[in-house]
Amino acid sequence: MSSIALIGKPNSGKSLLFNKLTGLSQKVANFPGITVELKSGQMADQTLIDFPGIYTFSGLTTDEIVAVEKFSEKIKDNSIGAIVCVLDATHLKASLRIGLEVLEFAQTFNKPVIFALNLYDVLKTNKIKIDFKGLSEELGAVVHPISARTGFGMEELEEKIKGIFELKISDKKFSNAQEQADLLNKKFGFDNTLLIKQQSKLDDFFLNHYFGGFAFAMIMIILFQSIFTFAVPFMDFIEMIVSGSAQRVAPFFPEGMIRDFVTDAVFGGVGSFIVFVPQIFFLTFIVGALEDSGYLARAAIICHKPLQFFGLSGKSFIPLLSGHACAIPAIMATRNIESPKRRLLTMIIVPLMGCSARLPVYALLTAAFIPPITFLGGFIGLQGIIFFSLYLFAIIVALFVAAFLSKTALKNKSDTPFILELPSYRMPHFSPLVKKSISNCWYFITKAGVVILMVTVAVWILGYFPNGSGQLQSSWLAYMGRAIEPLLAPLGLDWKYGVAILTSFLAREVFVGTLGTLFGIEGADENILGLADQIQASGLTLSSGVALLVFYAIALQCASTLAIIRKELGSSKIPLLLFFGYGALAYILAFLMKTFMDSVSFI
Amino acid sequence: MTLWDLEINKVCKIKAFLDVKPIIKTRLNDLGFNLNSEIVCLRKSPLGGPKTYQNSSGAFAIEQDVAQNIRIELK
Repeated sequence: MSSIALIGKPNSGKSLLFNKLTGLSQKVANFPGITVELKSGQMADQTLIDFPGIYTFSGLTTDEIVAVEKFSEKIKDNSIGAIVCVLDATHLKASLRIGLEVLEFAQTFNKPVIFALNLYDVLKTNKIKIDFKGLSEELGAVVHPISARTGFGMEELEEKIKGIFELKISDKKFSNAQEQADLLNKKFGFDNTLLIKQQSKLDDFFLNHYFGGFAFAMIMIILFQSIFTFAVPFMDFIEMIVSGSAQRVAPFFPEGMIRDFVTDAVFGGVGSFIVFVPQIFFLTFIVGALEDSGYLARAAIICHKPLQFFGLSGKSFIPLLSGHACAIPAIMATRNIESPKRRLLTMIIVPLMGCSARLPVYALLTAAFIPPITFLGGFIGLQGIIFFSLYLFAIIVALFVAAFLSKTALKNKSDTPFILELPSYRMPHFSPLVKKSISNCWYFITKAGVVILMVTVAVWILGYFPNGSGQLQSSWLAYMGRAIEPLLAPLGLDWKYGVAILTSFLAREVFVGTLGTLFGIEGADENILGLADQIQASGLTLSSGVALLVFYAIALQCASTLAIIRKELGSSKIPLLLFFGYGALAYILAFLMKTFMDSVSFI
Repeated sequence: MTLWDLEINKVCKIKAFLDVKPIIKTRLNDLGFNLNSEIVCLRKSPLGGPKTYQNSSGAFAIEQDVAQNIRIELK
């Protein structure tokens, strides 16, 4: 049986309606060759396909254009047999604009259409009525008022959708969708000033010249803290499960190579990235809640001007913020940026944000080289200042990279100005948010996990052979480390650091574990201070230590990030350029830092 | 006078689109910014960012590069 398409303008409550109709049974279906996500779900024995919101058939963004193309294709090949077009009752004119285009297209291919007039509860609250029966007659198609949020009219809508294939095809003609939408809005719509004034009261605070910036800063601080605070117990729990499972499973394998592979490569390697899943969950959930509430659109407005100076968009802010927890969901969040140029620029600089995987490296090297001096009665510590400086340094480099690329390599890439519809403030919906967060985590595990497992296996093989367990110093990996030693000599680093850098391509925090193994300390992650003493004793100078910190702040050593960028762009070219480009930039900046520190006599 | 110059709570009518790419003009039209349509400036943004305007389709934030290329007439 043919599927039923769910289509409508952005912010019309279409996704919530889809979730309500399909009972949250949606699955993300990535169609080959396109970047847009089409979600499909079951409503009884019928399949519903949810298309991304579009304003008109002449799409502006890549996602819109692809969505329209896919919609047209599926209508033409009859894989879509009927359409449910969602109208936003609070923005009737803009909804009818796309609604009339959909109706005309459906007529051409003999497809029945039902119009779901959503957000009708808002109208009822404000004692506003729309003559939906008259509108229905005018359109020659069913117009049914609903509220996906309160459930008003949902049962009747479901009944109507069940019989959608028996409905008569509308024979009404609308020559100019824009003009006709205007006429229909004048006839059946209402003055939207009242509703806009209601949301204006909240905007008076959130977009206020003085309080707006303060509220923005407070919300972002709470968001940032929540990601760490809420996720930590779950991360500890996963770490415990992974290490416990490794201990239980290992005895089932014969001692030697296979057991070493299972414990070190499978549990050790893959476990190190699964531990970040809770952070991805909370980040997706909190950002999703802010998005649902309508606040993110306001945050984008506040940030637009300063970010525009560096070639970015106000919409770049959330991905950049998210990147401080993990680059994976942050890169996925760039899909909300309409401008291809600003989206690519954002995607390019997200890996420079100080993600949580950099924390163990920063903690180790700071403890090794920075004395625990405190100021203002212990309130401010030198190590804390260095930590903050590292984050700030990476942000400054990121902004300069964006500004440079914006004016050079990406100068002529197509750009779209910032035009944003202000959605109404709404209460976020808990269940769909949880579902979306779980879906994002699963995407992370399945897509990036495969690449991580492959790299883990490769690193393990290189570190294990030819002499087996405990012989890392005579392994192929050590041989490779010594081979790149001349490259690291200008930074004052020996082969052991070369090996640590090589292995940390998998994930940055592997650096700590590798150094721990090389220095003969077990459980280096849990004993950072002990390892720091060993690093100091190894003769590494302060300037080399700081150079190493600079290197880790910039280098893109994260297989999952590269895999996600490749997936989003559908090409290996840019992730490879980023890997080598940031590697070279990290090396040059680290070298300059070491040279500067060596040349200053008092250091 | 351009849309960017419109003061808060003042009403205007769009008279011409100046240096606006056709695709952007189409999008503006889709969002209700048409010739002779009435527009109200709702507010400026903190840090000199996009301004918010209301028309018969809803409320929209538009950045300076676009707004200063829309010629208006006060109502």
